Amino acid sequence: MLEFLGLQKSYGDMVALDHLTLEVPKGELFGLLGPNGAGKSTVMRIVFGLLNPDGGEVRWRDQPIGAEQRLHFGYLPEERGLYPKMRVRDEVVYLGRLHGMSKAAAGAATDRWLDRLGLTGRAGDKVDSLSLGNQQRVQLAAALVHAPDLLVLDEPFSGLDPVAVDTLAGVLAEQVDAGVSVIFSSHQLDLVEDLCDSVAIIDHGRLVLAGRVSELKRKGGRVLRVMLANTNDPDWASDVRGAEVEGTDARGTRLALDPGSDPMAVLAQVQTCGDIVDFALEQPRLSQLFREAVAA
Amino acid sequence: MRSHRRVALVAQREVTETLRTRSFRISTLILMVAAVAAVVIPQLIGNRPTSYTFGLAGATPPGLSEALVAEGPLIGARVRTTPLADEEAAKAALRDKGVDVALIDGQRALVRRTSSEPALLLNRAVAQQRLRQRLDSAGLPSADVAALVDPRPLPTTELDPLSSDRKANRAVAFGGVLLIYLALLSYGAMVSQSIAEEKSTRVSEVLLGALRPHQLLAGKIAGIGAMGVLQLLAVGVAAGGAALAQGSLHVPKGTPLTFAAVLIWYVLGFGLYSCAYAAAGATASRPQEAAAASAPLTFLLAASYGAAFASLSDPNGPAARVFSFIPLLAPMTMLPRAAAGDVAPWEVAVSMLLVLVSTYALVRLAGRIYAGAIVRTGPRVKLREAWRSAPTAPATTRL
Repeated sequence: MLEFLGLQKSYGDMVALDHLTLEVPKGELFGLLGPNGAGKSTVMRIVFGLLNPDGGEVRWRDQPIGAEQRLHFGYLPEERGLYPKMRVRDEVVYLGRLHGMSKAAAGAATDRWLDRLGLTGRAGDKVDSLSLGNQQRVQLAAALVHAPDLLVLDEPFSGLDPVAVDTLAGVLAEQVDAGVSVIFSSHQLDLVEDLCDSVAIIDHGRLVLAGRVSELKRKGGRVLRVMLANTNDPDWASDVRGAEVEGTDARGTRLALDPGSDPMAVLAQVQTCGDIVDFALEQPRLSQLFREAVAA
Repeated sequence: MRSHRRVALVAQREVTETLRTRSFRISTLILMVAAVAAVVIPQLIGNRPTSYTFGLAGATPPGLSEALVAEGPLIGARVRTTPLADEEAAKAALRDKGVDVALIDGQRALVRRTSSEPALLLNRAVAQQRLRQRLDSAGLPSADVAALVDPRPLPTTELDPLSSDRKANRAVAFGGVLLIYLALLSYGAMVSQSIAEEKSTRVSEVLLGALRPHQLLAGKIAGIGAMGVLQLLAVGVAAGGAALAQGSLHVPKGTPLTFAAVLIWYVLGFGLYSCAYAAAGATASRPQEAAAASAPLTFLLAASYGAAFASLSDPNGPAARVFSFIPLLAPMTMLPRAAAGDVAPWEVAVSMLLVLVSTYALVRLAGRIYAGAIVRTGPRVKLREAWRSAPTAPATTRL
C-alpha cells in the first residue's frame, strides 16, 4: 500500500500540496484526478524523490520510500523522458539494467514488452524516428521492463489514439491482475470511470473526494434521464418536484433525484409535460462527481 | 546492484552512444589526420636535404669540380656540377634556376645573391684549389698538400647535448597544451550540453527514479571523459605511427613522457572542470542555453590557455611557477614547465595534489547544484535556487 501522509509542498507563495493524506490500496488501479495545477504531478515527483516535500511523508508497504524501494517502482512522467537518439531496444534494456536487472534478463523482458506493445519491428530504430504514440509505448515498456511492484503514470493516456488507449488499458488491467499497484493521473474521466477501482480527486493540493468508484457513484445519488417530445413548455423540467435539473444533452434531460425521492413519482410528473420517448434511471457519471467536488 | 555498477552502466551508455555519433567519428578522424600532417609536413618541407648545382662555364681549373662535390657534406648539402657553354648560357641557367651559382672561366662568379651559401662554398673551393696549385708548384709532397687543404671538419662537441631535445620537447608541450585546451573545451561543453539535453527531454526524471544524482553525474563524467582519453590516444597513435613510418625522424627523448603527461593532466583537468560544466548544464532549461550557462568556464579555460603560453615562453620564470600551483590553471601550465624547463618531481606532485583537493571540493559544490537544478523545470535556474532545492537526504523522502 502507498500512503501519502500530510504532504506539504509550496513553490514560493503558491501552495501545491496542502496536508494531503491519501491511501492507494495494494493491487488496484487508482486514478488521481484534479484540475490543472491541482498538485497531481507534484505528488508523483515526490514519490520518486524528484522533489522534497516541505512536510509530511510518503510510505510504501509501511516504510518510508528510499532508493532501494524506488528500484521496484515504474514511472511514466507527464512529459516523456527518453533519449531521443537512442535505439528503442537499447533504451529499454538500459533502463531495465539501471533498475538492477542482468543484461540477459533485461534483454528478454525488453523483447517481451516490445512484442506485447507491437514494437518489435522498430526495436533497432531511434526513438525520435517513431510517432508520438509509439514513443509513448516505448516509455511504457521502459516503465514496465523491470516488473515493478508499483506503477506511477502521469497522464498516460494523453495523446493516444483509441487503439493505443485500449492497448494501454489492457496492459494496466493485466498488471493489476498480477498484483501490481497502479496509480495514474488523467483528465479523461469517462476512461478513469471505466478502468479504475478507486479514485481520489484533489484540488489546490487538498483532497476533496476519495474512495471506490462504485461507492462514490452510489453515494452520489440517482439521476433520471428523460427524452421528452411534443412539449409546449421548454422549461418543463424546472416545475418537476423531487428532482433538480442537472443538464440537457443529446440523450435527454438529466434530473438529479432528491434523497428519498421516488423515481416513478417524478416520471409521472414528467409524463404530464409531453410524450416520453426514452428514459433511464442512472448513477451519476464520474465527471459529474468531479465537477461537484471541484466546484464545492 | 552496487553503486559503482550503476555508475559504470551510465558511463558505458555514454561511451556506446558517443561512439555511434557521426560527429565523434568525423572529429576523431580529422584530429588524427591533423596529427599525422603535423608530423609529416614539417619533415617533407624542412628536412629535405639541401641540393646545390654549380654551373661551370668556359675553362675550369682541373680538380675544382671534384673539390666542390667533396665540400657538400660539410654543410649537409648535396652538390653537383654541370658544364655550361659560356657566360650567356650561365646567365640563362641562373635565371631559370637550373644552377644556383656559376663560375666563369674559373675566374669570376655569377650569383643571384652574393651572400648565398653556394656562393660562399664556391669561393672557398676556388681559394682552396688555388692554394693547392701553389703548394703543388712549390714542390710540397702531395700527401702534405692534401693534409693542408683537407676539407674534413674538426671534431666537434656540443656544449649542451640536451638543448635540441629540450627545444623539441617545448614544441611537443605546445602541442600538448593545445590538445588539453581543445579537449577540456570540447568535452566540458559536451558534459553541459548532454546534461541540459537529459533535463529538457525529462530523461533525467526517469533516470533519477533508479539512480542518485551523484551516480548519474559520476557516470556521465566518467563516460565522456573516457571518450576524451580515447580521442587523445587516437591522436597520439596517429602521430606516433606517422613518426615511426617516417623512419628517419628524430623523436625527442622526452616525447612519450610528455604525451603521458598530456593524458594525465587532461584527466585531472577534466575532473576539475567537468563538474562545474555539469552544474552549469543542469541550470539550463534547454540545450541551447547550455553554452551560455557555461560561458564563465569557457572564459576560465581560455585564460588558462593564455597562462600556458606565458609559461611556454619562460618555463622557469616566476609567473610559470605561480601558475602551475593554481589548480584551475595547473592542468595547462605545469606541462610546459615539466617538458621544457626545470621542475622538481615534488612540485609536480604538489600541483597534482592541489588539483585533486580542489576537484573534491568542486564535486561537493557542483554536485549539489547539479542535484538541485536537474529536477527544476521552467526557466533557467539560478545557482542559489539550485543550491537550496538540492535534496538534502537523497535516499529517502522522509523528513
